[in-house]
Amino acid sequence: MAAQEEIRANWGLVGHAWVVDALARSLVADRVAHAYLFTGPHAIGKTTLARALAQALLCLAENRPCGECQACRKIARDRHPDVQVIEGVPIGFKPDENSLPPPRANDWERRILKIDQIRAIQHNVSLAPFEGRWQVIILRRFEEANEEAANAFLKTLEEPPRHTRLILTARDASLLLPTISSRCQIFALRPLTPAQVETALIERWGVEPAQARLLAHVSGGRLGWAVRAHANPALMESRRRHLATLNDALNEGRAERLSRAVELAKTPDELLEMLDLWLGWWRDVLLIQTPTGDGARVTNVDHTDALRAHAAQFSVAQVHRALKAIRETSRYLTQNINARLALQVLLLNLPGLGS
Amino acid sequence: MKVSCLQENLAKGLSIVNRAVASRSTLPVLGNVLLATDGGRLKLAATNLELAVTCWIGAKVDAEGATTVPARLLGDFVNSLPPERIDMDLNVRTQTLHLKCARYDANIKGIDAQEFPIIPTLGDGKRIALEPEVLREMIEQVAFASATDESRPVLTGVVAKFEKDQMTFAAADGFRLSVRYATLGAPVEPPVSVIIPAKALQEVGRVSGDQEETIEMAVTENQSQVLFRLTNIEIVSKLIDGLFPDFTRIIPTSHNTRTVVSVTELHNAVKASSVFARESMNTIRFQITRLNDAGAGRMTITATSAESGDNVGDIDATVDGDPVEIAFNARYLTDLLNVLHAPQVAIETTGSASPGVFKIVGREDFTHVIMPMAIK
Repeated sequence: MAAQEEIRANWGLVGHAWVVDALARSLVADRVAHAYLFTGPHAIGKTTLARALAQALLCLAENRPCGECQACRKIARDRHPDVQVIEGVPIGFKPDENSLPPPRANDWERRILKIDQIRAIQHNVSLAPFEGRWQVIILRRFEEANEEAANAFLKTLEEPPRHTRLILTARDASLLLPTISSRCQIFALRPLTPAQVETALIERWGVEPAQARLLAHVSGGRLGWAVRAHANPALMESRRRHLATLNDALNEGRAERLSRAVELAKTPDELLEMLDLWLGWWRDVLLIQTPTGDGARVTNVDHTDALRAHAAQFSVAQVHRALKAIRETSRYLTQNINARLALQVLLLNLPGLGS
Repeated sequence: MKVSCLQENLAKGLSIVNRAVASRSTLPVLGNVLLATDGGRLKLAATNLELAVTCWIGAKVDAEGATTVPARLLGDFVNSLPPERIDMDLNVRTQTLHLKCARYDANIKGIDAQEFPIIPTLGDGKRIALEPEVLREMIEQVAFASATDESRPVLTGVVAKFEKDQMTFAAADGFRLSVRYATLGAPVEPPVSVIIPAKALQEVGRVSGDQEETIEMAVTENQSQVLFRLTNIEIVSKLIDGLFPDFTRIIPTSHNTRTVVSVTELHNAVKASSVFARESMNTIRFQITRLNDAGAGRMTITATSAESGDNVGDIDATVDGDPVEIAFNARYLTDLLNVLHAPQVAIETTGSASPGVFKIVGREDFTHVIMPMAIK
């Protein structure tokens, strides 16, 4: 089987070296697990790692993965016949229609992985691979699988055909059924350091150093987000808008906050992203307030003055309350609760700068 | 790429490969057909990753090259052209294929041929030579018995075994089993046993209609694909991974009653009864009785519907053994009678709750087992 020198230690990824190291060793020993679960925040590199593992399995060169052979190139572009990347479809989308699901609008778009998709996978894995030795199925964001789909998948996940390797990704293992996560070998990916993201942005994507530094911090160690924000300035613009909303709201009285919530509820697609940014903001405030002063981990480096002001003005307890209120509202919004009411409650619960 | 061929040839080639085109897939290139020059011929290929069909047609090649273009679009356009010469010219930079035929011109936008999956070819591996006539009949008599639902993937296939000079095809869907044996021209060593998707075999049967020379079959070294090579056509199919149930244990080894009837008469009687059987879960009842010790007997075929009425048909039979009453699904009987191609069929039964075994009289190479339905 695979000899020691055939597997590269460097898979061309930024960061996640410990995972690559562990995976490479299992490849060398020819003991690749039948199912992996990569967890971590959005755009941290879970699918990129999954593709790299698929490349390591299917690469045609002596030193796998080479990243240059026909197989590696096809996998990188999701065009390899033996590597399938599956993710949920928009709510109301019918998979039997003669069209493919549209690309994801943003990280917070709600989608569902349906049982029909699982059945299609089961059909595909019952057949042998087309070109290579393995068939790799990458199931992105498995937390979006509804209960029927997840249960239907259990048998395949426990005992896939011998030529099949399954790779699941999810935001967090706790979001999955325990019967799903217990059937996978789990790797919890950690955010990269701002320095890693900054260097990668400058060296690989040719980003201006100043911009790279900002993106590296704002991304919170999520390289995928930083790259996307570089390519698409609208992302940074919407971030600016959402943070401005928060700062404006803090200066407002009750009546203004209530009418602001009504306005915000009119753009339901943006709310989860907005609340995530707000969480990041309060987290930064808290970081500055802590006596050890771990200021290096602050994400919103372009707003240090405002953050410092908030840290001085609010008590630690107030910040904690704000964090809790935002987290709860996020949860409510994914549970079909009236967005306007939830936002009104949230805004009233945020501390005020004025009186 | 610059190549010319006749409209009839291109249309025929496209109709052969079109069955393997994937209409809906995450890989856009699978909706395309590959056009490639190949040693003075034009190669057409399509695949849905389960099945790949390649076909070569005569052509005049002026410049080598390859591209892929949307299969349906090309097929529909070529079918509407007059039967004359088609000149094709590829613009490599834009991947646009220009077609010219008589006074028609078209430009079709394609995808780089590099994107097209590599269809496995027959290496130096061992090949099994099959007589097309025999293979076609085997496919016809076995493949229909395979399951259509995916709950047990192995049952959607036909198990094909080759051992010494004997080949066996078998398929089962849980309610019926079809087994067919044949003798090979040359012995196969070591034995081969694979599960081929029934759909792929039916495709082989379909495109081998005009085939007269032997068909070569081969299994790739990693046991993942099977290849059938005809004159100018190759069909590659993924194999189904898994263990096929031991079907020999399903075939009853003894019987109490053996009834021989004419296939045509039984077919007509079943056809008439199935009209009434539709509303009662397709149940058709056979009543087999002996009239004298010489073996002369009668088979009464009935179907009853609570709403519509009932029907009784009577046919002559040669009966050996006890009288019996047994019910079968009309659809299964019709499927079977359609593919027998013989004057007489023997039905071996043990009782009304045991499976019925159907054999062609005078031949030992075909066995079909159908589970009976409950008699109320």
